[in-house]
Amino acid sequence: MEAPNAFYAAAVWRRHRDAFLRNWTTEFGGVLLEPLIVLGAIGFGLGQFVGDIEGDVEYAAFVTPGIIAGYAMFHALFEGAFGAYLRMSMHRVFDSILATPMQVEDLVLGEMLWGASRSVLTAIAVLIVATGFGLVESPLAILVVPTAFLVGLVFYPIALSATALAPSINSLNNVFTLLAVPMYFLSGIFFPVSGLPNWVEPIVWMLPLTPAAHLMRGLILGDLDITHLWALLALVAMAVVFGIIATHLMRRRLVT
Amino acid sequence: MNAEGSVEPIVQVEDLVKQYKTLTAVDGISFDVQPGECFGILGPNGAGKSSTIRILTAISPATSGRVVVDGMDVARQPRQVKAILGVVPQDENLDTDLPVLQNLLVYSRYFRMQWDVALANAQEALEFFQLADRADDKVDTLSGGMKRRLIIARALINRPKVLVLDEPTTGLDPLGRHRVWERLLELRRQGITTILSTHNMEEATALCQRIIIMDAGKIIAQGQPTDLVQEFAGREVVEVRPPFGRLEQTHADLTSRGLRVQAAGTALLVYSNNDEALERELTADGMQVLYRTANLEDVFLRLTGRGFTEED
Repeated sequence: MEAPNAFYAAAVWRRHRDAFLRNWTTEFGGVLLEPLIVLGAIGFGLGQFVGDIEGDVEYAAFVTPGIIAGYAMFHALFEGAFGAYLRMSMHRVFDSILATPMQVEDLVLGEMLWGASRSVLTAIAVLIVATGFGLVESPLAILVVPTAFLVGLVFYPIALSATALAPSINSLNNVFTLLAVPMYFLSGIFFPVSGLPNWVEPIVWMLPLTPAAHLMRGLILGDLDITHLWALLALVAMAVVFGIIATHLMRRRLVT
Repeated sequence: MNAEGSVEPIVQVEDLVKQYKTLTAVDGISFDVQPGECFGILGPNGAGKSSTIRILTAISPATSGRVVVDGMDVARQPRQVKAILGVVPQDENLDTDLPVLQNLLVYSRYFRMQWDVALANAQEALEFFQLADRADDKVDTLSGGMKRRLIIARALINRPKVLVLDEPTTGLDPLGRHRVWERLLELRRQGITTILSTHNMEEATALCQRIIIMDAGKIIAQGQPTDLVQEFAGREVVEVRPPFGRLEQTHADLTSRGLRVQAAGTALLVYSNNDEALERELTADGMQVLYRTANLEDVFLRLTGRGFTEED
């Protein structure tokens, strides 16, 4: 494997941006609406019955950072699973790209940058609304934007790896039923990880969404300690490792 | 080699082998392509044409052997090789998310071209391929022939030294095919080196100055199309259709006279120029007799004993 070239990767990102801007109105609902419904229903609806959590944090304020992390994850996964699968198998965009000076490494990096951009879009949308509801307590919350980008860089290559291995588009459902949804409910978004049985806790900390939610919460509530640095480093390491794995699998799938 | 033997070939293929798990798709082929030439790779489906094209366009790695394009080894410098190639794939892979002109412009970014150069090239290419009035249309609204021309226009966006086309007219109706041929001939006149694969003999004859004929991963003949026809099939072919049940007997009779006979489905092909006595005799015997000009399919039939479109 050679190092990707950022300039070539940027050409892939710009292709996806152009395609997105032509069709963005159809995607708008997914970017904003669904996380808002979850925030409203869980944060305020369920929140009335839960009361404060972890001392003095209002429930809606507690779940908001996790919901941002969760939707950053979902949007990267959707793009890397169904979006990339369609580009690869149905529209043959990957084939057309690889017939140019572009190498697989550039393609995968460009794809990852785009997936991460999708995460940023949804994170910004939820962050603005949450700020309006008074759920954001710290100016550090602006760092949610680069963090969402990092979260996208972690999850996009997971989905892209599944795409590289997928015999058909239907098998990509597993990414959601087996991976994303369980993580969404276990990774400290809706209740603290410490609420899990003792033996489950360390396993859950290995899942990539847990450090993502933890870091988001630290930023939005303005309550950072050393554990947030570990979370950050873990996310960076996972993005690199998953990116390399996705590149290998994509090379195996595309270069025969 | 060719008349101006001092010219360096722009593409050199040496002992190329492509092995998939259970299949040897390309089995040790070598050939050179001269600058400015239109070079054809002709063969039936499964002959190894597409595998050869994919290797020499740096899309697929060779199992062994070497391909050099414009002095660069394809395996070592894929990025640099791809920068001077224009590739027209067999499967239509236009970007359906983008309109016609933007397809070309987005593609130009993959070559890291300057925007103004790309825009000028793209507009010129649309003009050349008679698509200028469709610049803002969705790709899905184009006809098959237009899509094919757009893919060729896209392949020319970087002003390639070598244009490589994998079955450029497969699936097109006759009109669409002729419009593509006409444009490719114009490009040839402008001096661009072209390599194309095809299973259409008419296409190879119409466009290519030199061809190789491939079968089962090997080159079974090479040269100028007209020379090959002359050498292996003569000028004319007599197609003889005996009444039902008499095919084998007739085949044996004709062979015993020292004629070159080849069975092709329900017909026998006799490679013999202008033999009127034979025609009278066979017609009197109740057979359908048809004279036609010999073509590359006859060459293939002579060399393999199989027709082009038949399955093994």
